Amino acid sequence: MNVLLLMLFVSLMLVVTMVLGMVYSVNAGDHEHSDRMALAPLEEDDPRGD
Amino acid sequence: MPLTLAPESREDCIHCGSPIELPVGPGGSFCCHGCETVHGLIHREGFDQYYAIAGERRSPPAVPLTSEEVTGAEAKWLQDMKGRGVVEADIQGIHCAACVWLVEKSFQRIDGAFEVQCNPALGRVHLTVDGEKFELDAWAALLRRFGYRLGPPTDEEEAASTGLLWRLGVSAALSMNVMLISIGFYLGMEQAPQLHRVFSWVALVLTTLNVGVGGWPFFQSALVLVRARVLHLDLPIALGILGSFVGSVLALWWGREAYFDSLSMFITLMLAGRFVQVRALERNRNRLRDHTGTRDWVVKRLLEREEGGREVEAVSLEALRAGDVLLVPPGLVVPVEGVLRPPVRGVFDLSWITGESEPVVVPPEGVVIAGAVNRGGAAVEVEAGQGWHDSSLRALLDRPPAATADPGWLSRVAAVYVPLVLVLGAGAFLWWLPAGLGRALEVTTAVWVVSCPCAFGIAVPLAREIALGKLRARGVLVRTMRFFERMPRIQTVAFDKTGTLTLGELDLVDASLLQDLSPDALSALQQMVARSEHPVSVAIRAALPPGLLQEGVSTLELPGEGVEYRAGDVVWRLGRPGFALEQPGMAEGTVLSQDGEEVAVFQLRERAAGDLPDVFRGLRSMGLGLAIVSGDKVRRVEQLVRQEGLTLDDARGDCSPLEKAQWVRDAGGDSVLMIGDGINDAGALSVAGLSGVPVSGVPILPASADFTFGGENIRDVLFAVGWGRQTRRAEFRTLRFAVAYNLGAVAAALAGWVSPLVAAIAMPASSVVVLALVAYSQRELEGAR
Repeated sequence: MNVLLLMLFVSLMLVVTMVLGMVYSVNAGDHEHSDRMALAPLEEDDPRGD
Repeated sequence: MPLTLAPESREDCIHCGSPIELPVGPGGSFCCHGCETVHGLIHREGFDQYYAIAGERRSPPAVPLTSEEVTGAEAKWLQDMKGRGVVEADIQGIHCAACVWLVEKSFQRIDGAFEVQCNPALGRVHLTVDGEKFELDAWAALLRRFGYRLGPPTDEEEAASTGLLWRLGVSAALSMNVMLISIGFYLGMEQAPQLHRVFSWVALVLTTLNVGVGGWPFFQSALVLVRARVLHLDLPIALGILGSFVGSVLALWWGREAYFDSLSMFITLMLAGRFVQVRALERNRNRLRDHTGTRDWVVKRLLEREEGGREVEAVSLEALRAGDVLLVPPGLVVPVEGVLRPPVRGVFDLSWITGESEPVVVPPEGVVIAGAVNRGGAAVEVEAGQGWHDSSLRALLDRPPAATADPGWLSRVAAVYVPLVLVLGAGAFLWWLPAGLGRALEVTTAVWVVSCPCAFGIAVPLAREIALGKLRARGVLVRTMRFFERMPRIQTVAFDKTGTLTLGELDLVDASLLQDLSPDALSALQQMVARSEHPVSVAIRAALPPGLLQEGVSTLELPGEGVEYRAGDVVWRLGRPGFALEQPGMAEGTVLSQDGEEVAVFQLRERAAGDLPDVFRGLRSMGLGLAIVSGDKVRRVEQLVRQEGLTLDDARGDCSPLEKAQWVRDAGGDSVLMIGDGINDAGALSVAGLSGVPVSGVPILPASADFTFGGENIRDVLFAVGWGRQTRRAEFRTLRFAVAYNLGAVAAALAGWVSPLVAAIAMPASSVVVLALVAYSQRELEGAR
């Protein structure tokens, strides 16, 4: 049973970490330029190479 | 490698993918001149990959901007930003991933560019550049030619949707964990009582956090609304959350089953609905930031220098005083009433003031009314007779946006729903009290949990977001939620004529006349129309076969009369009969003459904004009454009705702005949808139930309209009306299901059959059914379209 409690604690810590990461990402506005992020694979190594 | 996509079919514009109503450009491949210009530029600059990225999801028709359209604030900001290494700017006109790509690629072309982060949702760009090398104004000029506008960042508060987004994320994470813990209970955790207690307390802590973080927007809104004595759907949501939470806490305290999982999921779903709704409106409003009235307008004032000569100074409208001399370039608006300075005559377009489609000739020393647009070939000087504060135009343009205090049908539902749920909860408590306080509270909590208005909280915002998205893709931007509330109540659609049903451009009635002209006459005609920007010249030019322009030729354009061209001893004239002919007689139309003798007479007609008969048939098939209420002359209105074969309930011309507004009031006011673009429509637009404004022409009225559309095609109005009405139908279908579900669920809860497990299954199941209903309704609409 102690193992279960430990797992519960660890999982809640993971949730807290995820939530903090999400809040940081939202505040940084990552979701606002998802279009740009979606295009990242198309980027050339040298932006002025074309 | 550059890649160019062929158009999907002959009917679609190569640039924006819109169906072509009036072919423009070589091979008729474009829907408008804006698209033709932007496509040419994209191709010349080697940005053809734009089309590969955009795919089917193209932008609405493009409107390239000229340097004349740079406002004073923008010009000053561009100057201030010189030498900066990091620049934050607003960018308007971005629609999709391809737009982002184009903006970034064009940025990288400029020397000194390091990095750009483009945020299409908020219309922002963040630039990192070499301040010494990077020329921001050069990039801004390039963007303008693509139809994007770069300007100073507006000092807006943080978008409301950002706050909702992080609340939604936190709420979703908490709900998932509560659900995970609850599964343990449902799978028989009672057998290990100590762990059960720990899990229950963890669920309580997580749910408490969820109520605080996720429930807060609803509590806040409900509190404000209660203080304002308005019954809104946020009130039952807030009460449901609070009641279920208190009930569940007490249940846990007394060792009974709690509803933490259902409550958590409910909060998350409600937040998702709210986020979708707020985000959709924010996005549409961001698209229209450039239509914020007259704050940024600048005019050119002529100053006499002491050492002789004159200089031009750009000043804001606020600084304009009586006696100032204004320089008004072609295509721009005279903001205040004034006197035209000699020696030239001026040709002014008053269509958006009076509705009259024919340009007006003002003699030297003549009065130019506020709002007149210079349609002559050259800039004119106007001595202001009044300051901006006294201008009649100011009173009309700085009008606050239409009030949006319509409570809507959701609030009317809430007005019945809230007391009903409260009474039912209290009734359940009293009914079950003899069975013990704990049991009574459990049943009351169950009633509140199952009666939470999930259908309204998520289904309605979702249905509206889908409709807004479809409309946005078409270029129709809905600006107020009353669009959905009022559209089903609309019984009459009233159109302005000039600029709305017609594009303010002319077409030759019979282009075959040109084929009968001699080569000399054709060449002379070509020389004249190529050098004139009068609408008649533009129409004839469009109908002429391509020909060579002779160099060193000069033509003389007399405003209000016509154009003259001398080829040796021969005098060619194109214009009014009185100007072109020695003996005008009874001739009507635009005459081409050689030495005063008639060669040809051209008749012209106004170009309709799309397939009017088809659009009008579509609107009538929805049971709507149709009318034209125009400020233009009666005969022109009649001519348009005849020319297009329209069937109308009423067609009026010569209407003053007051008469237009009165017409709308007489026709029912709230049940009228008014579509108009001119300042003479402002009164009618404000008294109508709903208003739609095309964004071509003078872009000022959209700030107070319920929706705006591209302006080149009136079919967008049919589309907007259709989606507005059908969305309500989808909402009602959902409402019927919700009522049936809630009746059954509340009855079961009153009977004491709804345990936390049943609630945990029934609530998400009902939400899924509601979402499926919305999806089904939208598919049905797609099919019908």
